[in-house]
Amino acid sequence: MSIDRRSILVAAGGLSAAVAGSGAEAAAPRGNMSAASRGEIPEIGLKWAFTVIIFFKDRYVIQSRPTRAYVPPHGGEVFGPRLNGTVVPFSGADYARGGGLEAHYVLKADDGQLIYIKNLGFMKRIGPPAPPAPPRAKPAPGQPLNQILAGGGTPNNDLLRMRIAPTFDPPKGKHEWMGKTVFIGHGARHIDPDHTVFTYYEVL
Amino acid sequence: MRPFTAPAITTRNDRGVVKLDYAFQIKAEYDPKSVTTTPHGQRVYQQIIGGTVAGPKLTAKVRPDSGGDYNVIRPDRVEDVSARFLLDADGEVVFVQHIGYWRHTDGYYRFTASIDADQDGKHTWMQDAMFVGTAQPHADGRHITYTYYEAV
Repeated sequence: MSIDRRSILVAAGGLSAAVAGSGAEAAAPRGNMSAASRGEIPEIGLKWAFTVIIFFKDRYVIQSRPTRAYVPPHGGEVFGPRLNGTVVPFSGADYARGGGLEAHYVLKADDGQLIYIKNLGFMKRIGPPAPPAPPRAKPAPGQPLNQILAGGGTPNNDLLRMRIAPTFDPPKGKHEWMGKTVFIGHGARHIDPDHTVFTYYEVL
Repeated sequence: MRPFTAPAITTRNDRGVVKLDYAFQIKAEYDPKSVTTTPHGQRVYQQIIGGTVAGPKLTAKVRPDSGGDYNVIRPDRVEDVSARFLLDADGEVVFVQHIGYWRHTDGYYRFTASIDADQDGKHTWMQDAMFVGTAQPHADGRHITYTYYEAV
């Protein structure tokens, strides 16, 4: 794969390489690049590959230690410059372990090919500490959680950081590149309707 | 497959922003490679024997003989990267894991790194951080320079 230099974002010397949420696919390198241009800090960049929106409804938590969640996808869509298609309904779940994402789904590309995705990551609160949460009863065994309980209240994505390191098993052919490319994902939680927007970037 | 009709949403085009912050670099030293043939491809085991860690977010040393690389060279000449080893940082122990790809076809070598540190230590923040890295293997086959960026 050739790397388009214009799409490379340089992170060097403590400066950030940012990918804009809208507008340009990739911003021009910013800041002091001397360390990178001297070859001390290699260049790296991100490029938006596709977005996956997954719709959820009910979820269960098995009160093991640590806890094990079951949050199945009722469906979803995939769109972007590198992949378009759908999320196969109930093709797996986020079987989250003790708060870390551990999700397995199957995507169906618009050419009919199935692509397995393993979504490992975390969700944490950033910014000021949360106000003390009102006490809530643990659900009885077998009792589903709703979207609010699971998220600890209405999600404020400015205070949530969800980052994903996904891996894909694509079939041979046009999607093969996904099985030999590193991705980093961003997740944002929403309710009414209950869904998560995952933005996936190809690591250049 | 179960039928599904997506409900109307207003968030469809909310593209999440990820920044990469340069975190640190590891100059790692390895023993020679040992290669075994497995049903998945060639398993390349290489024991890590030392190294230095420096950068704005971490200063440490690689703990010698704490693990190494367990990569698999696939039939399509892509190496599935899998590394685990420890760092000694200010008297604390830090666990590093790499998962990624080294394409022998074009030299692309990238990985995601997850790190475990003590709950009440100086490096606790790394537990809930995700790192993206790039590797520069040296021609001697015994040294690799890893550069880590925190995905914030």
